[in-house]
Amino acid sequence: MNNIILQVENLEKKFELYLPEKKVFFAFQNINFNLYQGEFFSISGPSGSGKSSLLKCLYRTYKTTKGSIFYRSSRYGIVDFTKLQEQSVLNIRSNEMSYVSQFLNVIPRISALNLVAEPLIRKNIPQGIAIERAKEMLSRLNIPTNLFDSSPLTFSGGEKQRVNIARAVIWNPSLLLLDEPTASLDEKSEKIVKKILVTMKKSGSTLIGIFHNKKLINQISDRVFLFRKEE
Amino acid sequence: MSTIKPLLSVRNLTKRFGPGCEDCESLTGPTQNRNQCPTCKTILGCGEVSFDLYPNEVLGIVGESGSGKTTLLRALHFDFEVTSGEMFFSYLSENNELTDLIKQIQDVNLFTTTNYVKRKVRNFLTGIIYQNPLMGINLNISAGGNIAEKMLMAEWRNLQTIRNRSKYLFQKTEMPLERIDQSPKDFSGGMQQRVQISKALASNPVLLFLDEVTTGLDLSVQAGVLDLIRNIQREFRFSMIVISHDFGVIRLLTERCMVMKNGKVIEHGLTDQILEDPVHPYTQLLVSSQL
Repeated sequence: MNNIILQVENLEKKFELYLPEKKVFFAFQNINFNLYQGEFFSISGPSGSGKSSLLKCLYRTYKTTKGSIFYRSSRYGIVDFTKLQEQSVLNIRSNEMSYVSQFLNVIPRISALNLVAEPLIRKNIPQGIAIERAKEMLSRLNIPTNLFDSSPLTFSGGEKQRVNIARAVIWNPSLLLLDEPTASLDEKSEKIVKKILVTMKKSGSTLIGIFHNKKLINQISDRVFLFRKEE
Repeated sequence: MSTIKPLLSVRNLTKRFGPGCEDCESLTGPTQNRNQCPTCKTILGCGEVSFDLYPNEVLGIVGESGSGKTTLLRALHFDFEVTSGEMFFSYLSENNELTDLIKQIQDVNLFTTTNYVKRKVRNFLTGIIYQNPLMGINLNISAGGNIAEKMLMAEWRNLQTIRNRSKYLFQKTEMPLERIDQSPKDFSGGMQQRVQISKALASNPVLLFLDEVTTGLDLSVQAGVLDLIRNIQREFRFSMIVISHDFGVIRLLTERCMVMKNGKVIEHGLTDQILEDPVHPYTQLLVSSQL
């Protein structure tokens, strides 16, 4: 089909740990699904079933050990993301695909404003405009103005998570991977985030996310993929 | 499918210190866990290293002391002759003064070219920042003089331009301008490192080599120097090769990195992948040894 953006075939992630002694285990095996352009796809399942590992494989933070991820890139055409040249992966990451990690993981000493503006500057948007848009995005996510100049590492859990989301959605990526983006948010913030995600979907982005909140899953997803725990 | 041409291509770079013998290849390297050949006592500096570096890209090289990181970097900076290997530089510039040089080095293996060309590539296109500032700067001349030296080597001839650029870089590296005519002898370690950075950047290099630039500095100065390098790289968009044994530095500065052990590259990948999903046992050990 033409509107498949991501085709996951027979995917396996095996970890081989050598410390303190060699140990092998599987995060998941034999995962198959298609992702269509413009849909909201949720992944659900118990903790430790490999949901985050799957998302990390899709973003290439984890090396896949078997199978393929065919991704339709606007720049490179259909590519196997698991084998794609590193340089091209980086290019796709800064122009097409974004990822919201479970925990904010940023370099210290950089202000929230600059962190959020960074993906725009990377896309050659002039600094002034990028900063303005970052301000807007942070305000929209209810981050108090007096925190803009501080590093998010000093923020509360919920604020950190919102900065994390702001960074990922500000540049309207065509594919967005979300790893429990609303886990540490109160109801009000969750609502705002939900609204942002729905707007992104309407504008044509494809979203794939891990959520624990059943109600939220039902409200926003088109399809749910259920993970079982590896035995 | 659009592909960008790499700025620097290195293929099978090998450097051995010593006569070498037929056992060298099989008796050294990470699988043998040694870099001295037991037969002829030759040391393997680095072996069969290949990689591409793209414009505006920062590549990290990590590994323990003696893994061959610095040998690799020095080889790329033509500090010594290599045993074997190829190095290609392809660069497009609007700068007319460089046109001849760029034509001259097109599709030429720089390791086998004349010393004259090597020197030109080194002075015009690259810069290096050593771990020890004393290797990069001369304590007997002023800080400004040190920065000017790099421009003179790149055949800048207008003294006013040189002076202005030295001042500009001094400010860029957050140094007090009134100390530009002092000898770096009287500077702190962090300041000396900043002078070295200014010097390396002076002739607008397109490729910068960084060799453990923050080792030996205290933590707050380390952070300052790293932030400075990071900001300058983003502003001027040159390519960098960063060597460190510290994954913190690698995480801060690079998007791609290679892990070396006993002279060989044992793993390479996206920096976040190397840090979160290290595959080689030695990389796992390195990552887990972080403080």
